[in-house]
Amino acid sequence: MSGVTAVFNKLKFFRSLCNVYAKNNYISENTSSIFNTHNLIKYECSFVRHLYCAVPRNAAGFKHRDRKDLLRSVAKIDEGVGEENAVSLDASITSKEDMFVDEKTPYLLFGGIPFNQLPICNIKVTKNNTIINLTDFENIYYLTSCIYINLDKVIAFRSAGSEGFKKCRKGTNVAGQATALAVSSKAVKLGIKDVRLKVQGLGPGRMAAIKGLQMGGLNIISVTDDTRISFKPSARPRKAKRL
Amino acid sequence: MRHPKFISRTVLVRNGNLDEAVGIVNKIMGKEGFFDQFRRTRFYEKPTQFRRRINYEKCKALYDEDMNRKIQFILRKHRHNPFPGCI
Repeated sequence: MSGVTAVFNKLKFFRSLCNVYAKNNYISENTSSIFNTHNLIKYECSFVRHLYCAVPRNAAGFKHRDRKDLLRSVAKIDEGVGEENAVSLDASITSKEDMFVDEKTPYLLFGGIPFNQLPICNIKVTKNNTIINLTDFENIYYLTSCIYINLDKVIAFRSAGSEGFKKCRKGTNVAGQATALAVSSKAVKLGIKDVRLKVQGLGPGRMAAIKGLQMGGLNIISVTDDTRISFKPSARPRKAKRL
Repeated sequence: MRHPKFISRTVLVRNGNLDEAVGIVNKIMGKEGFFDQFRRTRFYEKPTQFRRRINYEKCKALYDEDMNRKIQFILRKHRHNPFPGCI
């Protein structure tokens, strides 16, 4: 008990020092003095921790807490969908009715070309890579009522790997942006200006690639999300990773 | 063709404001649970995990419903006394 009182007394002393130095704005960052306010607070914290750690505990019971702390300290993965959890969705949509596609949109003219004949920029974003290809409009030939073949000509094709990013650097937003810039520069050389955008997958390169295309001088007419999602039971995915 | 391209999940860019359009697409996809489903199906979800998740979601939905009702009750307007319980 006496030990605890001693710690408390020390705590009081440090706290009073803290107050005094905080009032006098005595913050010396260059000289690593013990009277630095920051240091004082740090010591105070360590004393408090010492106080609580004095009680013997079962380490196993705190394992899950350590794990949670660890996971909390890990940076959140950027998947290029920052606005996903933004609020006030309905209010924002009601004022933007003209941004959605209707039956007339395929025949709207953009730079003299109807919407359904504009070149398409396909972006495939994965965790480890960003692949962009630019095609002319989809020539869809129906063989029967349900089978069709897609004969679109690829104009430009680039991936983060082909841009010189190797290994884990491929799966970064910088790589995504560089890839997009390369594609857009080639497209601009060929005289393509207006494109439709089709994005597939989530990953760090998602938003960066979209921004990069715009920075490279392409005029993006529409944004489509084409991520493959199935709500039905399909082929069994791979085994989950265990940390 | 069941899901015609460039009609579903498509937003037009207005006045060159690309961020706005992308934001709308992301918001809608997120709110409808597409991204959640996509992330969930990257790895196999064991039946136990599936049961736990479903039960948790059920409980959370019930709790949210009740809590929202309570909040709406507290926030209701057109009362004689605008601050009930306060002197």
